[in-house]
Amino acid sequence: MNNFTKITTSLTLALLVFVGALGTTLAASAPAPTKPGSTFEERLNQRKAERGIVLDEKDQTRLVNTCITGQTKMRLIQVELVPAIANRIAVYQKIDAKLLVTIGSLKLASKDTFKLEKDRLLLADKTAQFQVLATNLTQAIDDTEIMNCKADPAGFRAMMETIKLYYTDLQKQSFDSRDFLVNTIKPELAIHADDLQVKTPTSGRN
Amino acid sequence: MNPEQTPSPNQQPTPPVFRAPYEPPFAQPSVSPGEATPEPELEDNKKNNKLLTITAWTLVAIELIVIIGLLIALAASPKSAVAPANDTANGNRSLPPTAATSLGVQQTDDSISQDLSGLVDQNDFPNGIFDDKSLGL
Repeated sequence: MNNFTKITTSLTLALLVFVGALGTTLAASAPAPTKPGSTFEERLNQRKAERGIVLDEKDQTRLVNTCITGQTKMRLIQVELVPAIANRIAVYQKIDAKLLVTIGSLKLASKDTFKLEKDRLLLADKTAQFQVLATNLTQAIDDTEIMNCKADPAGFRAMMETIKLYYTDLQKQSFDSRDFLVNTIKPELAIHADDLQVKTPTSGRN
Repeated sequence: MNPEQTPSPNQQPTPPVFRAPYEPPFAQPSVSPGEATPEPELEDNKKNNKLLTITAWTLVAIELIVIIGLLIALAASPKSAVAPANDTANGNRSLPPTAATSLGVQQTDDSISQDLSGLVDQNDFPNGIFDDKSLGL
């Protein structure tokens, strides 16, 4: 009987921990992309459903009083953020083009480019993910700026949470791409450069 | 004097002949005994059709020769051989690819480092810009 109670208590606790963890994961999970061609209302409803925001009276009053200021500040942030994103994508594409040319010349020199080609595709995939995140973030910011936040503070909060999640993902993706370039692709290029230096016939004579 | 009117002594006088009005001679087509006689109009049509077919094919052949000539002239024109100025200005795309050298690969590596040095995450995507405090919420 004593054992039965212990087992039951342990199982109940484990179940509670599991449900709690699942709830936290779902609440912080990346927002789903919106349907192409969706309306503002559809997107707002989707974000509200995803985040499931419930505001107490105090928070509601505070948001109603301050959300217009928040929207104004958000516009100022967007003015700097959008060119930074565009510049980053342009730099990634420029690096991709340089890698493509280098891979071609390495092939002409009869070098094994399999790993470099595979890594170039991985980098392109990371850039594509960054672009998708940037598009979703910009869309969420646009929607938040134009919404009637005083009439729907819960919707405004849901949009804000969505923006924060997309922005965090964008930061992570940016760091990931940079890390991949610095720690994977650049060392590989250095290996190829060393390899070519060793096998160049003129290098021994000089 | 008319010779018809002066019969020879052994001949009977022939009676006067009444002839039909003059008709132009009509050339009969040579037809083998077993064949049906073809109508002259059908024969003409066949000839015309043949003539038309030959003319049409001749025109088609001339047009083809002209088109091929134009294509060859366009392909050989100096414009197609010269790459646009934009291509040469932006990254030597018109240059033939060359085999990699150690220096070339090293330059690419350095160039990527330079590109990355312009990307500062903390400047482009600073932390906490969408926090409630930053937005005054």
